[in-house]
Amino acid sequence: MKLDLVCPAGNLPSLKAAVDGGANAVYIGFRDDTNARHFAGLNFNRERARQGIEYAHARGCQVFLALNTYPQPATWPRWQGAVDQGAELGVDALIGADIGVLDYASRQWPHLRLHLSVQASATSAEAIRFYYEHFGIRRAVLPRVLSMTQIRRVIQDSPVAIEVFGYGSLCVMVEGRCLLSSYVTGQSPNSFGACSPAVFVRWKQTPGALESRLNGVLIDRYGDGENAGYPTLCKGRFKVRGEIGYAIEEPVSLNTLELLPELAAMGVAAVKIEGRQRSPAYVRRVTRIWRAALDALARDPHGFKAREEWMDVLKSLSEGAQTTYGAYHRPWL
Amino acid sequence: MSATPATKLSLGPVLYYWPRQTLLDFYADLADTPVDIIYLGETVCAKRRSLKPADWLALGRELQAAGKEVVLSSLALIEAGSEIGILRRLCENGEFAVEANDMAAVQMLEQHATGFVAGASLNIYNHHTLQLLAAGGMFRWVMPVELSQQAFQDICAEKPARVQSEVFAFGRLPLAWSARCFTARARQLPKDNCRQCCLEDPAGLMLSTRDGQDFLVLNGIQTQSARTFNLLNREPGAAIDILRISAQRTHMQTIIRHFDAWRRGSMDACTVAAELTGTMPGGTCDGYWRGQAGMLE
Amino acid sequence: MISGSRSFRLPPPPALLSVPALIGLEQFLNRALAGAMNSGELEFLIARRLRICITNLSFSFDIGFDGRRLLLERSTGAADLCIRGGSYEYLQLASRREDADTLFFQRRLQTEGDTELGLEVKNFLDGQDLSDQPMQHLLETVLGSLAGAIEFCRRPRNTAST
Repeated sequence: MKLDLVCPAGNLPSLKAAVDGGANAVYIGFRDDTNARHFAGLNFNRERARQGIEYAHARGCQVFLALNTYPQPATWPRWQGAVDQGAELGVDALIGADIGVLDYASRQWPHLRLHLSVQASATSAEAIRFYYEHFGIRRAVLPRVLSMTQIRRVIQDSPVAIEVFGYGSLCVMVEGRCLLSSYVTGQSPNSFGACSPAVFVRWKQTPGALESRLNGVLIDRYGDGENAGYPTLCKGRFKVRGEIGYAIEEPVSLNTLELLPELAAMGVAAVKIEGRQRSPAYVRRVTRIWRAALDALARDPHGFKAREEWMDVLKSLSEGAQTTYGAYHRPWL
Repeated sequence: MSATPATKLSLGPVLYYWPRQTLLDFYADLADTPVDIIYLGETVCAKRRSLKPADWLALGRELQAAGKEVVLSSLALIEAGSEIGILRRLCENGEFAVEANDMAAVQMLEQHATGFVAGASLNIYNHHTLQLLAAGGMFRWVMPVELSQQAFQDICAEKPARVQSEVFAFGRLPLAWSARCFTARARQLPKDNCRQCCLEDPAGLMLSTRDGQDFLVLNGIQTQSARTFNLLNREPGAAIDILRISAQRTHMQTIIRHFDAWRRGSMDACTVAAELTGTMPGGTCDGYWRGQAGMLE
Repeated sequence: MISGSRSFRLPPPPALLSVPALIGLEQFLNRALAGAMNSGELEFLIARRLRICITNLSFSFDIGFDGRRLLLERSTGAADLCIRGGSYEYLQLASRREDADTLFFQRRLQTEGDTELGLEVKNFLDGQDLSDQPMQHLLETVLGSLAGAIEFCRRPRNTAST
């Protein structure tokens, strides 16, 4: 069973790195809040997208367009325009979440493949079936909250192919319904394509500690020698029942490389790598490792072993310099 | 003022884990209040079984006999196959309308051709989405809690007249759901052997920052705001069909009484806000309605 | 420091890092980023001051943009954003052997000040497509080789793992 490798590209050099590294598909976004990695200086304008699509298609790689945030009435025309632009540019699929956006895309561009974004928060075959019956989606990306057993069940009952995350920064909250960021800053992945946006981040050196704050809220404090992390608000240390610790989530990345044989056996259609906000260096290295792993798996499914050098590099690129199986493995819960 | 006697009051489902008798007493006390609509059922964790489905139905019938409109609310996060089964039986109950909090429920309710309530976590952020779901049987829309007055008015301007609008108007805001159980984690217990420890936190578990600021409340797999949202911190400035008050263990009668006084026009929002200060441990907020960070007041 | 006409040499000791070297770097950057400047991609840097601190050489310099040219000078006054790292870390970044976030997670690169500006600088640099600019591509290759050589020299002789 062939597993597609879907890699992130936040800019043209990253796209080329992913294509050259052997990705089967890359996913990109436009330079605004129509996608959930809306960061200053990141993403593609029309011309760069055109160049990227040309480069990828010439090498047999597909390009998906992430249009996975939730428009409100006042700004709806921008999303509609983005659907049109993506279709005109010839993307191979649109990754959407908002029902209105998927509805418009399916009516206006009936031949445009639609994938269901993780941002649609569909954790069951039943939820997926809604989008399949209404919009003819061809693939769904599962939120990172299901165990292996639960994923197996979804695949069994799902009317469409299933794509799962294999590697990258991890959300502990179910995607598509997390408002923690907008509670603190007014901007959430749904409403603005951002989580814990940089414009609200402040670092303050105090005697003996470096404090990180998000819109004034203290997210963490680091002593000398402690690795400071970006103040993503669910990854701070807080006080609960008198104890200070990572009450919600610790800085860590997902890495399911060792689970590949099981994922393949279950019928997963594609593995998605997270990281559109990371650099070409990250994309190049991660793509090559996963390509090598998937090729090794295809050659010898029963003898597959994750090589130590792959795991070491993936760990070194990770948030918190550590990795986890996440919800795929129940003790993490 | 936008209050009219036609503005209805609803009581949201109990989000915390309370023992059976506490729940029954809670609802018995509510039968005499001016609340028009009562949402029943478990929306957070399928392991919370103080009341079984048959119990919720029996309770619903009692409240209906007392003159209340009853809606059965459903799980927001579906993970296990067993939860799909629970959801299906709920959607097919045949007696009471169902509030869908996940698209799996919408799919089942549409298939069953049953009118339904769209809960706040269904991500209806624009009128296109609303119109599509209305065509599938949605008769009431509960706005996502992060949306503003402006978004509310823009969406309502394009909604079918028969679709009622409901806004979360008082209570700790549900902000996120997870596969991980934070209450169990706080006690170093695995989720699969949690010993139902959230029973010990009838108002959730407070999470504070390292400089002592109350920040969030942990409620099993759900994370809430520490601050209590109050739509009536100022006059809302929009015509809303239903105001939802979220269930809390204390001061329920006081809160309902004040909201009722406001909708009858006998109390203005500022007075409501001032008099309800004592009912909001952790402080108040209304940033979302005003298009700002949710935690702001 | 490298410029179009000088031959490559090893980085000079700190005392000799001076205005001529900064001028050379300034000229190089203005040539390399001319396309980006013309298309307005550097507007975010207008009226901002970015400080690059090379910790192991005890040297820092500031970068500004006046709308037409990038300007480099010795550090003075306050900066909106200060990036701190060793010369090896900068080599790794310049040659695209390492990703800025990774260096940040490992605390080999630190930022102080306006985090959003830092993100914008990072995303801008990452977004520069060097593949069709042979001079820049050569630079990346040369810097990459230098970084690789340094890495090789640094590798512990005793490779027994713990």
